[in-house]
Amino acid sequence: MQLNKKKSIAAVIATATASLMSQAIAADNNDKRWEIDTSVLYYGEQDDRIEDVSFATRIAREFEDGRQLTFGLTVDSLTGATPTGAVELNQPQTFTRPSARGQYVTAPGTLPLDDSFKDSRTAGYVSWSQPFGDNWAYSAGFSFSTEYDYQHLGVNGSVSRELNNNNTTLSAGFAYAQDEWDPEGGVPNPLSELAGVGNQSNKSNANPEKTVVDLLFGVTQVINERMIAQLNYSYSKSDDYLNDPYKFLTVLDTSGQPVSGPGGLFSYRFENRPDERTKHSLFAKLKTFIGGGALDTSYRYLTDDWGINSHTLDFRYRFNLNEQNYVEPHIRYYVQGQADFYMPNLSASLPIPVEASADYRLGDFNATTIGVKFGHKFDGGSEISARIEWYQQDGEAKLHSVSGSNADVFPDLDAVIFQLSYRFRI
Amino acid sequence: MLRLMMVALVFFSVGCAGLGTQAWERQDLAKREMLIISEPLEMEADEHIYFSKEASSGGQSFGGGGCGCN
Repeated sequence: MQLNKKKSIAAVIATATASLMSQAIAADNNDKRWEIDTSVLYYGEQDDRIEDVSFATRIAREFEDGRQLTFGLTVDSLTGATPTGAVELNQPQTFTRPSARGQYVTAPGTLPLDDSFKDSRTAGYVSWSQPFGDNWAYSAGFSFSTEYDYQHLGVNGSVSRELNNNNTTLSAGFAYAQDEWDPEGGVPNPLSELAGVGNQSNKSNANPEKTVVDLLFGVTQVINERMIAQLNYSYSKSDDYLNDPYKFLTVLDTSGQPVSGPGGLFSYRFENRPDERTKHSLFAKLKTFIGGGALDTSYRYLTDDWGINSHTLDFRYRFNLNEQNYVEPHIRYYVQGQADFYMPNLSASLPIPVEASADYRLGDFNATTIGVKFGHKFDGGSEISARIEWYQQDGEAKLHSVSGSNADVFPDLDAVIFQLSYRFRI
Repeated sequence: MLRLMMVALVFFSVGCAGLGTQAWERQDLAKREMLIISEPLEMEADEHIYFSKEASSGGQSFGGGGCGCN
């Protein structure tokens, strides 16, 4: 009995330390040092918009003295149609595909979607973490992703320090990413007009880059026997090519009608965003063990120099039905204000602005996620879970410089998310 | 803004000096679901979805690039 008690205390200490260092390996199974998480995810939007099927794995190997190697791999397959930024009109619209080798027609009263979207993406990371000195630890990692028209390479590192009898962890992290575009059909000149079939005179074959520097400073604090809190400040600076090379804006006259452009098309101009962006965010999380289950509450405030401010609230509660089974409801609410240069359309009667984008993701909207997860733990320690969630974006955008128009042209989004996960140790 | 947030972090850490528990009082905190990040694959999936569909990212961990995200 005494032996068991000692082992139990040691296990508790080890796990509490690991939890403060955000290492996700439970201590009740120390003889099995590999922890393997796998999942398959389906994400599907309404009206044949984007569909994504994703397979992911995360493998963690625990060594002596708290050292840990973690690596992950995700493979996505994306298909479907995505909004181009053009607004719906009461007449048919013809668009040239990004390759300039063909066109598609959008019916009157229908949101223009580029239906040629098809991509696969492979992403992975490796991370090593290790304690050093008294109460210090570091981690170092590498990440990559590759898709048809986009490559990402990144490095990251962090140090953390335990204080107050391991009740407080201070951490500081750094990440650097170097990404590169190779868009289908080339990179459009900013604010140039969408051209006809075979005409790529407004595109270049450059491979524009994007660099991102992230800094993260955090405090994790044990509040009492049943509560732990985290507060993070993060800074993120993106530079160089921050446009989406496939997005454009419709040019409308003051009566809301399109004007003619090159190649027999209406006039649409490719977007242009600033070539740098600085974001600040404050993130707070509180985890409370209450009613026999874990309540996870978090809030994030984000502000940037594009004029975007956002608030994100997230609640999950794991209700343990018994030793083996649990159910976990989840609610997330997100609201953002638009970027300074967001506009649903350009005006034919005004000068072309230096920066403009009709990408709905830069607009005014709120989003709600409601979901539920069921989990089952097997006797051997493995666990299976399934979650289903509904994600809904509801925005508002009024046409720019069109007299008498009060129509809302924001392309609302409804999506379903389903994820099946299995975790085991060997 | 940066300075304000750093001051908030310092106050938070100083204010936390009187909080906490002894190691043997952490049975509930030691449960897997009480880890700050208890479901890493789920978090990765969510961060990727919301990074692709919203203008905000990161906060809990790094929210940099890694996706063309149409």
